[in-house]
This record gives sequence, C-alpha cells and structure tokens, in this order.
Amino acid sequence: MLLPEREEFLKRVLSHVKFKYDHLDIKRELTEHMEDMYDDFMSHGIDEETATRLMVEYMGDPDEIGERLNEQHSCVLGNIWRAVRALAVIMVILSIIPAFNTSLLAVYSVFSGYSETRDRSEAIYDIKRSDTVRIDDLYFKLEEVLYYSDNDLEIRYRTWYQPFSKSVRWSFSLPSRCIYDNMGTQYSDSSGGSSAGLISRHYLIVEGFSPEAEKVIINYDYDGRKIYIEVPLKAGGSE
Amino acid sequence: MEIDKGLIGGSTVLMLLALLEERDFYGYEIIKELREKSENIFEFKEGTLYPVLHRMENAGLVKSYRKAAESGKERKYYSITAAGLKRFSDEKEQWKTFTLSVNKVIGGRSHAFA
Repeated sequence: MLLPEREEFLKRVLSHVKFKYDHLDIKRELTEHMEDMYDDFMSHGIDEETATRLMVEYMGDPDEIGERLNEQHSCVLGNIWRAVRALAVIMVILSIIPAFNTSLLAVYSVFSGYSETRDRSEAIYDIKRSDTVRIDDLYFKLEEVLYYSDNDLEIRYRTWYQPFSKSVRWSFSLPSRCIYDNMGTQYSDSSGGSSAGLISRHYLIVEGFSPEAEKVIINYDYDGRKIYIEVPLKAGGSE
Repeated sequence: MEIDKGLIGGSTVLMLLALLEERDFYGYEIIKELREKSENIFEFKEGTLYPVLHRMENAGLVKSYRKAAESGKERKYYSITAAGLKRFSDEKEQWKTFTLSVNKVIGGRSHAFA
C-alpha cells in the first residue's frame, strides 16, 4: 500500500528530524500506525478516498509532530551513541584479530604441504601411517615415513592439543635419539623442523639410516610420557 | 464535551504509564485503548503520541522492542520499566492530591452558592 498522501505526511514529519539515522525507525512506526488506522476505516465500510483523508487528518499536524520528534532524537546524543558503538565494534575487532591470526595459521598449516622438507619425488618409497598417541593433553600423530636413496629416513608427524585444555602447552618435537632400527642401532644425526599453529606439522630427517633395517622404531620415553611405534620398512629383504 | 488540550497534555504521561502498567502496547493500540477507556473524551491527534512515547523512552520510563502483533504484522511495542513504575506511583499520588484539592475548591464554591 503506497499512498501518496501518507508519503507526503511522513516526508513533512521527517523534514524536521535532523538526526537522519533515526528516520527509518520513525518512518516505520508512523507508517504502521497509519496502516492500522486505514485498515480500521476500511473495515467500517469507509471508502478509500475518505479513509485516506481521515487517516492524514487524525494524525495531526506533521510540522508539529516533526518538531517534537526532533527534540527527542537529538543529533548530539545520537552521534555520541554512534561513536561509542563504533568504538565498541573496533575494540571487538581488535580483540578478535590475534585469535584470527592463530586460526589462520592453523588453516594454513593444515592445507599447506611440507614445503620445507625434501622433495618427495626423490624418495625411494614412502609409508603412510596414522598412529595417534596421546601424552597428557598433547596428541602425536605419525603420518608418513619416507626413505631416500642417500640413506636419509624422514619421519613426518603432527601434534596438537586437546581443545580447551587448561594445561601448560609445552612445545613438543621428537628428539632424534629416540629413533632406532630393528637391529638396535640408535640414530642421533638428524635435522628437523616444525610449523606453528593449532596443529603443528613436524619433520625429522635421520641421516645414514641403514638400508638393511626392516623396521624403524620410535621409542620416546621421558618422565613417564611414552611413544612407542614400530613401522615395518620395505627394505631389508621385505621387498 | 471538549477538554482543553493543555490539560490532556499534562496528564498524558500518567495515562500512558497507567496503560503500560497492565501490559505492553504498541502505538495504535494505545490510542484505541485511551479512546475506549475515556469514552471518546480524549481524542487527541494520534501522531502526537509518538513524541511523548519517545520522550518517555529517552527518560527510561519505557523501553521498546519489535514483536509480531495478533494480526501477524510486526509492531513496535512499549513496556514499562522499573523507573516507569516508580514514576507512575509518584504521579498517581500527586494527581490524587491535585484532584482532591480541585474538588474541594469546586465543592466549596458550589456549596457556598447553594
């Protein structure tokens, strides 16, 4: 229902209200009032033309109403309110940004590859794994073991913390001294790296790993925290 | 009978608080209710209700919210606040004292002329 008489009335009222941001609310409320009045007239059998005329007449003087509304919708108070609200929004955004950064890193770390490690096409073979071990609130997941022609053995794994855990988040990475083969050799020459984020990616490259070994054994035992995983290899006569 | 607009103006807030003490209303309902309760004596221009309601809201006597009315159409409702209830009881007392005094004067004069 778009009545030009009603629109004209509303325009006159709003022309007095200087605080433009409240125009929509005021217009809505007055429009609804006039709609209800118009419907009431119609339900009493009054014709459209008379209903429209009476509707505008019953509302009163648009200039007077507009001026009195203007007194209640002050520019000064309205603008202070808007400024406070804008400031609150900025504060919220500023407090979200650090959390957002962390989650962005986590997303990045989930989707990005192990770009800092060796090229996987150089590997003689790779073994996919998904052994998960929990140490306190930390999860350790072995994902892949790769073996290269220069006797480098690479172990790829991820770690993450139990969500909402209150424990101290100690940073974890697998020390090379806990890498053994099935012949009891302990390997200590290694290099490794980790990514930050909610889920950290890690790699550990053990140099000079015996091509005859049938298994690589991850045996981590520190202060009662244990990881023990045996991974059968494809070398050593198994293939 | 027509009543001087100034008189109505002075007691509008009191009447609105009395209505809103019963339940929440939207503007058009308030007009209908006032008209009915006052038996058509208070026929003020309907649009002038809103500056009064907005003033009461600014003063913290009422607060507004939007809700679907019985018709299913969404309307802006007004509800009385704790400050509004306090104001209502204060103003009601003042009004009683005022009308009592006026009645005494009127009653006194009419008695004198009798």
